[in-house]
Amino acid sequence: MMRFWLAVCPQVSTLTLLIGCLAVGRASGDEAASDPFWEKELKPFLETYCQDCHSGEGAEADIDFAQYASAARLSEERPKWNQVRGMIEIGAMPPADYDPQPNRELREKMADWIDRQVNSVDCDIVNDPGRVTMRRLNNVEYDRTLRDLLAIDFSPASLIGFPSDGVGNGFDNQGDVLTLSPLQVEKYLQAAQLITSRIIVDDPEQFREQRKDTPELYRGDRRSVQLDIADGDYEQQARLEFMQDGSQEVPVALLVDGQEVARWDVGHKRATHAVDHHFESGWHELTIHFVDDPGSDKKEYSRRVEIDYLAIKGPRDGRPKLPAAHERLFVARPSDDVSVEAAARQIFEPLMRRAFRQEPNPADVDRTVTLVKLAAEQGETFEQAVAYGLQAVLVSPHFLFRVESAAESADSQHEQLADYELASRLSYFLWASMPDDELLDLAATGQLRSPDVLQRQARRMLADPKADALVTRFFGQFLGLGSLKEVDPDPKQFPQWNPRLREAVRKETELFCGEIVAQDLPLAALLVADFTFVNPRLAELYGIDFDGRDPAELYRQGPGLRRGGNNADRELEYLEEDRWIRVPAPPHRKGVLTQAAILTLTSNPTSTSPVKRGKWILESLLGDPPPPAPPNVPAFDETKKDNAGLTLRQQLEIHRANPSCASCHRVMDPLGLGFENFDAIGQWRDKDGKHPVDAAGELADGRKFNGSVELVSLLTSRQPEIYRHFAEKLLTYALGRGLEPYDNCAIDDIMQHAAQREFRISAFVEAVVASQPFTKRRQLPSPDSQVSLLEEHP
Amino acid sequence: MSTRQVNRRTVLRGTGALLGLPFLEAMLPRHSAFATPKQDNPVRLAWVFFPNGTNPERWQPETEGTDWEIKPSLESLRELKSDISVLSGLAQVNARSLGDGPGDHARSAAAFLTGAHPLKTGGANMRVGKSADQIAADHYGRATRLSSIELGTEAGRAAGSCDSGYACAYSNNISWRTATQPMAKEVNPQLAFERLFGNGAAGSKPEARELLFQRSILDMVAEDARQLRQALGQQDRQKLDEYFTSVRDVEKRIDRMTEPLPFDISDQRPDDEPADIGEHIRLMYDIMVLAFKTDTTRISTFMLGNEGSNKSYPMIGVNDGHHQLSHHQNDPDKVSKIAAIDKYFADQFAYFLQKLKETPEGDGCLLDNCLVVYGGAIRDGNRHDHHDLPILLAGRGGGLVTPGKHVKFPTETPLNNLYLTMLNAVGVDVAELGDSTGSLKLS
Repeated sequence: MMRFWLAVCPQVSTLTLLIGCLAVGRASGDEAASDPFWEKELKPFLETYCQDCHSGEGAEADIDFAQYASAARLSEERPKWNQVRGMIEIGAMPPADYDPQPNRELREKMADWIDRQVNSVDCDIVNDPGRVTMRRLNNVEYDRTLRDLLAIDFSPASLIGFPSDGVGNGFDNQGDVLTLSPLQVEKYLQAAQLITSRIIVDDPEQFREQRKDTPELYRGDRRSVQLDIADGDYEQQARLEFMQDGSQEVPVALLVDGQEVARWDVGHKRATHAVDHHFESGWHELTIHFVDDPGSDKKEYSRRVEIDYLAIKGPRDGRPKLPAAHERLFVARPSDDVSVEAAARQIFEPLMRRAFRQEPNPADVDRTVTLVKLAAEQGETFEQAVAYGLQAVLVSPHFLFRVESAAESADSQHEQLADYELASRLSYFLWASMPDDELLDLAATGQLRSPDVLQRQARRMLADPKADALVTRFFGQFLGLGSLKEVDPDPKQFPQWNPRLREAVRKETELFCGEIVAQDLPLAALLVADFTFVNPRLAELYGIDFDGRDPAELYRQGPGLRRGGNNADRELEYLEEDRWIRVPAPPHRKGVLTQAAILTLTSNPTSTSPVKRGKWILESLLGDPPPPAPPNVPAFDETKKDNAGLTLRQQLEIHRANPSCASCHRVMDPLGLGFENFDAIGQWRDKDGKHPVDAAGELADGRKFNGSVELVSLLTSRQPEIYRHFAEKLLTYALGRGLEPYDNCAIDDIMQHAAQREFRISAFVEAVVASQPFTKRRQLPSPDSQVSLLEEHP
Repeated sequence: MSTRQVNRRTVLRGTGALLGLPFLEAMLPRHSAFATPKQDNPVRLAWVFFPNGTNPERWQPETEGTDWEIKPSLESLRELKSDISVLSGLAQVNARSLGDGPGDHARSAAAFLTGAHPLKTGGANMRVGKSADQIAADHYGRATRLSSIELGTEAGRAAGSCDSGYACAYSNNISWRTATQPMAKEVNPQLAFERLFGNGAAGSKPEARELLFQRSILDMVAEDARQLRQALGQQDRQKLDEYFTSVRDVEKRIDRMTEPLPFDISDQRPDDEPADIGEHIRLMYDIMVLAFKTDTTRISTFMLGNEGSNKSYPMIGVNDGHHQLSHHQNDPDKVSKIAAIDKYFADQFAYFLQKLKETPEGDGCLLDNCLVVYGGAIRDGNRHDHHDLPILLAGRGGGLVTPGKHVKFPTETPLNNLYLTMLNAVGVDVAELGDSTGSLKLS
């Protein structure tokens, strides 16, 4: 951030800002320069222990301590110095074979000072909420926003093939990297056309019949469909067949809202059964029920009832109900009394408020209404004219970007976000979608900013099903689950790895995180929970029963295999493939580190990688990533383990004999080796090739463990770092920008608040929502000082 | 100019509402008037990028001049030897760390076409430089339906950081519209086809009425953006400018859509997901051939993989990840697998060149009117070095280039000198390009 200020300040003429610059500069620069600790302690320390390798031309890892004449630049190069601090603190540097070696006390003293110098800010002086770059809706937010705005049930982003979003700071919702290209604008235009063509109905008659598909029934099964129906008389139809050869018939019932309205005898000849029924307007549930099978007391594949469709036809009189998306959009139509313009205005005023997530500028509404009117004058139907208007709304910058522009000055440095902006921050943080009506109304009446209301809303939103976004978007990216798409375990070694298993391992971890959110568990559960979720496929991978049954048996009974599939791989469906149950953690497993998703995405295609697993723990969990391997030192070769008949562990030991590798690997490797009992797709194993697995080890701090469960328990001593890293990631995700040193003040507050409530998820979330960077933003230089920047477009 | 614009906006602000009508109406008549300036057999420019470097021993020729020897990885190009030149000695020094520490993969993709050094950042203030293809697009791309096309096979990474603290955009893009705005690439062959050719039927073009309304909508939202811009701070304006210029680019494209397709290519529309990466690559090459043949665009980039890609290539017995293998420590098995991937890429490239060659144009073939650069900005993935890069130039550029040679340029000659030469050759009047220091002699 220093760099930003230094770059901006010379262009800013106002006195306040110059003073601001100096103040920031002094806080991290001048004081440090004259710091006696640097002169008397750290500088000599670096000279004695580090500068043999880290100085001058060809300095190792591009770190040249000799170029630091004072400590002034330390805080500007925060990531680098945090790495230096980490290396010194854990004893990774200087390398073990270097002489002399600093003692532990001296290391800690240096690390502490660097920590304070680089990371601490005086929150009373700095007090900066930062400023987020305007964020484009990312592809997921785009889809979810349209789902909530227009009640669509498809994904325009994937149908149209939006380019993938940029990822920065570990997340895909960061303002600075959400760039926009001409291709993306073309896609937005196409998506808008697709959406309007799908939701706007030109011919209502096509909706006089509604058909629904449902899967087959086994004895005793019920399947339900929901239908939105206009008032009137209808014929209900079901086309059914009992699949068992012969002349047997079985009773199948049709229920409306739980009440039986017909019972049919269904035989081996496919036939349409029908019954008349009067419906009141609204949503109704139609249920088809395989009542009993006189010929068998079990669910049997050959004795299933197949359903071509369930349908209702009608109403006999009057207009049928059109799809919700259409009905919801057309709140007005032109008539003798209502002009096209007036009807368009009635449609677009409320719609644009929701689409833009704030009161639309009257001129913007006027332009849209004018477009509708012009289109109608050109001979388009009102529906089609509205479609064009809607397309314009959906490619407007007010829709595609989360605009925060309504400046409301609170004091000289900060702006309180407008209530509408706060509503969007909340909804995109917790739902990855637009605010709902309750949030918008609270914003409209100016109540949202009150801390009590904010807290209540955050709690309400966390309990809403839409908070699944927090699991799939935040936890998913926090844990790196997206990388699962890219892993390609060797098909020869792992024939059962296929797209279904890939999906299942991801879903396990999502359900697991979802449970932590839903039950509002302490964050520690992520590491040590003694439960998880499995479907039959995953139960087999983990070697446990599925609900008292053998998963292999469930595969043999699966619908695919019964139709003549191959048994050797697991490409087809298991019986009850989609049923997920909560189970006690399988043997040797505890928490997310022992779940197949993490174990797989930290492996290579043909082998496990203790290095990657160790690195993942340091990076993703502890927030303390090891530096990348120095240039020209190739990554350790893990795939040729049989070369010298050595175990992977023995090879890693040889690797660590190289001092420039040892410094980091003696921290990383033991962490990863603790999980060696899990192969590259997370299955338990006792042997790796011909070698028995040895999962014992010793952490860099000297504590010993044997196997993953013990190692996980040892890691719980690192909870403070884990929680803090989690808080940083959560805030990064919530804000859509990388954190800066001044954000440490907010992180301190969040940690304090979370600590009072056992670090439960809701405590983190509420504290983020209440935090200064979430509710405020740094004030811009005054408009006058920006004159020189006001250039016209090319 | 700029003052007048500001004044106009002020007036608009003052008059308030209903400023939509005039510009909407004003644009109604002015369509169909657009006509593509005809040019016989224009030169087409393409850049094909591959990640993770090569195994140079089996890629780079040793003998210079016309009597050069094809190395095993380029074996499939033997029949095309007189249509290609290998250019050794070129460097992309901005892919080096230059004090920024690790991150060679991100830097290589970012520098490959820009000759600029990317700012090391995980997000804020992402910046590298405008790429050569986009400079060409501005000047040389105006005559065609699309100024340029950007193709790839891998969408961006969905998680985490891509390379040692560099934002993923650096690894995933070689084409940059401006120093801060990467050109997203199309990775789906079917969508790429439809974007370029619609249904591919001869004479097909979107309905004029549909285009008119698209045009009106874009005009309208551009006006939204203009007004919104004033309320925003500097960083936000940059984002809005990306939006604004993109909208303008699409408008220009719509204006050019009135030209019908000259041939029927509807039977060449890819219908299914490609079976493997090889087919994926070939489908994209097909689209490039069609785009050039129909003069839909004259400028194309294609990333065979994102830089640092860890894809495996089971169809040629490579089950390990590409990036992982590229750090081979001279293990003979891994080295040969890297060479196998190099060869696999070259096989597909030969397919592309062959197709260009089989497409007649003027007195010769389409390939004669192309200049295709094939290469990457890492020489050897095991070393991460950025000099003496694997660079191949195919085609004659309409007679501007005499291929069929292995040329060794002095060490550290900027790769951008090649691009500068290419751009100047097609009449793009720029004196320098990224870190270029001058032209190369290619005739």
